[in-house]
Amino acid sequence: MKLNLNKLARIAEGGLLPLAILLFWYLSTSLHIVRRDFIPAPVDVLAAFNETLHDGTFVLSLSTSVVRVLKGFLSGSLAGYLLGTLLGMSKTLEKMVTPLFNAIRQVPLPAWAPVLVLISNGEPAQIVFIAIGASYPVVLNTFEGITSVRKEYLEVASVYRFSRLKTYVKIFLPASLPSVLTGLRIAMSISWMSVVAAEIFMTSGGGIGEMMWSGRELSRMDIVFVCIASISLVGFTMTALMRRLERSYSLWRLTMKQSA
Amino acid sequence: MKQIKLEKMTTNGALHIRNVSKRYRVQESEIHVLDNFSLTIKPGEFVSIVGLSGCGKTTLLRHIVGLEPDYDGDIIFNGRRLDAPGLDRGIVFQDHRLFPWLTVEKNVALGLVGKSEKEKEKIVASHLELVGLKKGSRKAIRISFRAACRSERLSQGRWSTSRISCCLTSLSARLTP
Repeated sequence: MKLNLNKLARIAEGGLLPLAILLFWYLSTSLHIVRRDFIPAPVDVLAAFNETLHDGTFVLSLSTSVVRVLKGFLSGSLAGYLLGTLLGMSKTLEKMVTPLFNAIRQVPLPAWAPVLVLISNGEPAQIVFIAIGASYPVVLNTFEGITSVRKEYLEVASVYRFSRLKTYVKIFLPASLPSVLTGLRIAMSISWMSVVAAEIFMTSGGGIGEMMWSGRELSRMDIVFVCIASISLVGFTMTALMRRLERSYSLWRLTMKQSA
Repeated sequence: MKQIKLEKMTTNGALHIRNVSKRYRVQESEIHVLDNFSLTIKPGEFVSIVGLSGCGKTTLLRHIVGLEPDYDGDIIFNGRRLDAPGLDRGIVFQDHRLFPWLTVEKNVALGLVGKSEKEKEKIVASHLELVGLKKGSRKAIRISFRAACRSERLSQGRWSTSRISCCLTSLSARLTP
C-alpha cells in the first residue's frame, strides 16, 4: 500500500509540469493571446485527432512509421552489434577500424540524406537512414561491454580451454549483455527520432513524419500538433519498455559488483 | 595457503619444476619473484606451499597451470614443458570466479566436455555433494539472472566451495574414462 502511494506520488510529480503547460496553452488560446491558426487550441487538436482517427490516416501513418522504425532499428543494431563485438574481441581490427568509425560518426545524421536520396527516395533509403543512427550507440556500448569483461573470467575460460566461440557464448555474450541493452535502448530512441527526419527528407511511403509535413503544407497546425504529441508519446513508451527490459537483465550486474 | 591439486588422477606423471625463475620489471627496478626454484611432486603426493604474501606462491601456481607461460627454467609434466593451460591441470582461484549469470550447477558444469546432459547433471550433483552443497541448499544459492540480486545468500565460503567443486568436476571428468 505504501509502495503504491509512493508510485502515485511520483506520477503526480512527473505529471504536474505537463498539466501546467496544458493549462497555460489552453488559457493563451482561449484568451486570444496567440492566434489560433498559428497555435491551435487543445480542443482543435483533439478534433483533428478525432478526424484523422476516423478517416484512418492517423493509424495508417503511425503504424507505417513504427514498422519502419523497427526495420531500421533491427538492421542497424544488428550491424552495430556485430561491429562492436568484432572490434571488442580483436585488437587488430580495433586499431584498423576505430579511427575510420570515429570519423564517420561525426557526420550528423541528416547530412546522409542527400547521399541516401541517390539510392532511392523511399523506404530503403529511410530504413538505411534510421539504421545508421541506430548503429552508433550499439557499436559503442557493445564494444564497451566486451572490452570491460573482467580478465579473471577470461582466465577461467583459458584454464578450461574454451574455444573462441565458446568463450564468446559463455562469457563475452552474457557479460556484455547489460551494456548492450543500454546501447539498444539509446538506439531505439534515436531510431524513433530519426524516422520523422527520414520521412521529411525522403518523402514517399507515408508515415507520421510525412503526415506532419503535409499538415504543415496545408497550414493545418492542428494536425501538426497531433503528430508531435503522438511522436512524443510513442517514443516515450518505446524507451520505457526498453528500460524495463534492460533492468530485468541487469540484475546480476549488482551481484557482480558486490562480489568483486 | 594454497594447494596444488594434481592428486592420483594423473596417470604416470610427476611434476618436475626445475630451476624456475621469474622476474618482473616494475618501473626501473627488477623484482625476482622466483629465483631458481626446484621441486618434484610425485603422483599422489599432496603438497602445501606456505609463505609470506608476495613470496611467489601464486606466480608459481600460475606458471604450472599455464596462465603465465613466460618463465625461465622448466616445468615438466607428463614429458612436456608447460607453457599453456591444459585439460590435465586445474586451479582453484583465490577469488571465486563464478559467473553470476549462471547457476552454481551450470558454473560447475562449465569444465565438462564431451558428456551428455544426463551425465553432466550426475557428475555435477555428486561433486557439489562432495563439497557439502546439498540439493536443498543449492536451490537457495541459485545465482541465475533474476534471482541474482535477491539471493545474496551465497556466502563467501559457499562461493569458494562451489569453486573447488568446479575444479574437481572438470579434472575428474577429464581424467576418469
